[in-house]
Amino acid sequence: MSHSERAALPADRSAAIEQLMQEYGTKVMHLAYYYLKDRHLAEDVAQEVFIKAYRNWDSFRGESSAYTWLYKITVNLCRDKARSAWWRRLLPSDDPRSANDELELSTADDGPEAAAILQDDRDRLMEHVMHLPEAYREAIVLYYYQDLSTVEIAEVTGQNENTIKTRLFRARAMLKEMLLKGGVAR
Amino acid sequence: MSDRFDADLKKVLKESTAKSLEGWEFTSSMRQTVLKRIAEEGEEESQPPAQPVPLRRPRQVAAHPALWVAAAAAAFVVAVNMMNIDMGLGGNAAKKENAAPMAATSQSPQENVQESAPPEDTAVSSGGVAEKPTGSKSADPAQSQGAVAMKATLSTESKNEGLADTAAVGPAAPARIHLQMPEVQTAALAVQVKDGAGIAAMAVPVERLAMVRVGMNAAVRTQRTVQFLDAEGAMVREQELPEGAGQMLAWNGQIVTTGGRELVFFSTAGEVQRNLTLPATPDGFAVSPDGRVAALLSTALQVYDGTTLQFEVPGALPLAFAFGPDGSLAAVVRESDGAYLKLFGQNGSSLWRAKLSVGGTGITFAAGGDVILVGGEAFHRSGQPLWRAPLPAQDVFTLGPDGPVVVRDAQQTISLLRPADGTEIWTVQHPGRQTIYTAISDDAELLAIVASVDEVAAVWVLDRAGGLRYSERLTVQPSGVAVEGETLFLLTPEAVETRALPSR
Repeated sequence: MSHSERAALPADRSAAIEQLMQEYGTKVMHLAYYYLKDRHLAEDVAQEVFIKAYRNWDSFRGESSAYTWLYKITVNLCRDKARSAWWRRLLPSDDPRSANDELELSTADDGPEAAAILQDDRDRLMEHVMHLPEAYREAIVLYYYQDLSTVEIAEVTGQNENTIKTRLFRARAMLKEMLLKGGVAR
Repeated sequence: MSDRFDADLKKVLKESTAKSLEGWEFTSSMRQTVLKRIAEEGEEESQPPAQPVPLRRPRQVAAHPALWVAAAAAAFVVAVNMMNIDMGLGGNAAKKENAAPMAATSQSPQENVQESAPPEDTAVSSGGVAEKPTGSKSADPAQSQGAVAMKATLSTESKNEGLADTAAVGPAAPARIHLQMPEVQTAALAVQVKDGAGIAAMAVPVERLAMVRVGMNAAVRTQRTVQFLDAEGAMVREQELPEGAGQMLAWNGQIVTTGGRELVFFSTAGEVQRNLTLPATPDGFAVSPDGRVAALLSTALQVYDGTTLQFEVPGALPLAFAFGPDGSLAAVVRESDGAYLKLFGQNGSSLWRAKLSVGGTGITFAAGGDVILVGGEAFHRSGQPLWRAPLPAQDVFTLGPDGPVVVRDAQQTISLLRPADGTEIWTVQHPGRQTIYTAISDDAELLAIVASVDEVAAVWVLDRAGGLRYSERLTVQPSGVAVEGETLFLLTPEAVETRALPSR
C-alpha cells in the first residue's frame, strides 16, 4: 500500500481492518487454502490474519502494499501452522519432495505441446498445483493467482528475488512435466 | 518457458481456481467474528481476562472465608514460584532483586511485554509478585507452605464435582504468565551437542523431521527413515521406511509411524513389533489403548483391529479424531450445516453427535475419558455440553489421563484448564509470537513451548504449576522438541541438542 492508499483507509484501526477484510478477505483465505489444503483450517487462518493485522497495525507504515503485508502475515501463519506437529497430523500429507531436492526436469522449450495439453487438461491443473512441494506451490499461487511480481513474492516470502525466479522456473517445469506425463513429476 | 505456456498457465490457473473455489468467500459472519474478537481484545486491556463460558451452572463451592484466604494464598504460591524466574519486564529492579537464580538464560530480558488485566482479586505482576489492588507483598516461604496446605483443602472441596478434578495442580485464580524472549542464546550456554551419528548428514528439509520421546529413548523421523537414539542422544539404530514422511507418535512404550502405506510399530530399540499395510498412504492415524488403529485415508476413516478392517466411519472425512481410554472414537466431521462432534463405540456404532459452535480442530479425551474436548468446547461422554472457551482451540491435549488440559487458541494463548468446568489454572501469553511446537514430558509434569517472532525463536519449559523451569533464545528454529526428566531435547538440522534443566 502506498502512503496515499493507507491514507485512504479509515483512521480508526478497526474500521480499517474491516475495509481490508472486505477487500482482501477472500484472497487471503484462498491463499491460506493453498498452503493448508483444508477449507476449514483456511477459514480459521484468514480470521487470524486480520486479528494479527489489527494487533500489528502500528507497525504497518505503508512502505509496502496492503496486500503484500496481509499476504506476508498469511504466509507466516500458514508456515508456522504447517510446522506444528499437531497441524501436521491434521493436514494432508505433502509431497515428499522438497524445494531443495534435485530435480530432473526437461529443459527443452515448452513449445505448443504443453500449452495444448494445458488447455485440454485444465481440470487437473489444480490437482497438479496442489501436489507441488510447498515452496513451488507458494511461488505459483502468488505469481499466477495472486498476481504478485517476483519482487513482491520475495518480500512476502522473505526470500530473495532470484530464489523466487528459480522456484517459478522449476515449478513451471514440474507442472509442464505433470501435464505431459499425466502425473507427478519425478 | 514459452510466453504462450506462461500466459495459458495464468489463465487456466485463474479459471480453475475460480471454478474449484467458486462461492467460497470470506463472509460477513467471518468478518463479524474478527471484529468481535478485536473488540474483545480492546476490552481485555481494561477488564479481567475472559473466562470459559459455562453452558450449565457449575456446582458452586461454598464461599467459606477460609477458601477465599486459601485462594489468595494459592495464587501467592504461584507468585512466589514465578519470583524464581525471570520472565518479567526489563527495567523492573524489584523483580531482579527478588528473582532467584534460574536457568542461565533468564538474565536481563530485553523485550518488554504488555501486561494483561489482572484477575479481580489477585494478579501476577510483571515482576512475578502477587499483587492485590492495595499493594504488593514480598515472598515468604512460610506463607507458601501454608498456601500449599490450603490449596490441598481447595482440592478436597471440589472433589465432589462428579468428574475427575484437577484442582490440586493450581490456584483458584488463574495466573498470567508472560513469556519473555530470553536474551541468552545457545552459544552462551554449555550446549551438549551429542554425536547424533547420521543425523548430521541428513540432507532433508527441516520441516519433515519430528522427534518423539519414549522413556529415556527417542526416535527421529526423517523422510525415509526412523532413527532411534539412546538416552545420550546417540543413534543406536536406523530403520528405513517407504517413501513419504509420516506422522509419528508414542504408544504404550512403542514408537508408531507411517511410511507410504505401511504403519509400523517399533520398540524403542528400533525393532519392528508389528506392522499394518493400509490400502493407501494415510493422512493421519491414531492408536487406541487396546492397539486398534484409526487411519485417515483419502476415502474414509478406517479402524483396524490388528490387520483386520473393523469398520469405516460413515460420512464426510473427519477433520480430527481421537480414541478415548475405553476405545471409543471421537471425530470432528464437517457437514453441510456445520461441524459436528461424533462419538462411535468400540464396534463402530454411532453413539451421538453434537453440533460444534466455537470452531477449532484440536481434539482429545480428558478426565479419564469422561470429557471430550474439541476446538474449545467440552462435552461429557454422554454427549451433554459442559462448557466452551471463548476462542477456538487449535490444539488440545491432556497432561496425563486424569490431568488438566492444555489448550492453544487461535490467538496463540496457551492455557491449562480443568476439564470438568473449563476454569483456568494458568495461562501463557506471548503476544505477537507464533507457537511452533509444544511437547509434554511422559510424566506430564513439564511442558515445553517453542515459539517464534519474525526470525527469532525461543524455547520455554514450564512445570504444571506454571513455574518457568528454563528458557533460551535459539539461533536456529528447531524442527522438534521433547522434554523428559531433567533434560530438554531440541532437534536441529545438524543434531539432537540437549539442555540440562535446572534443579527444581
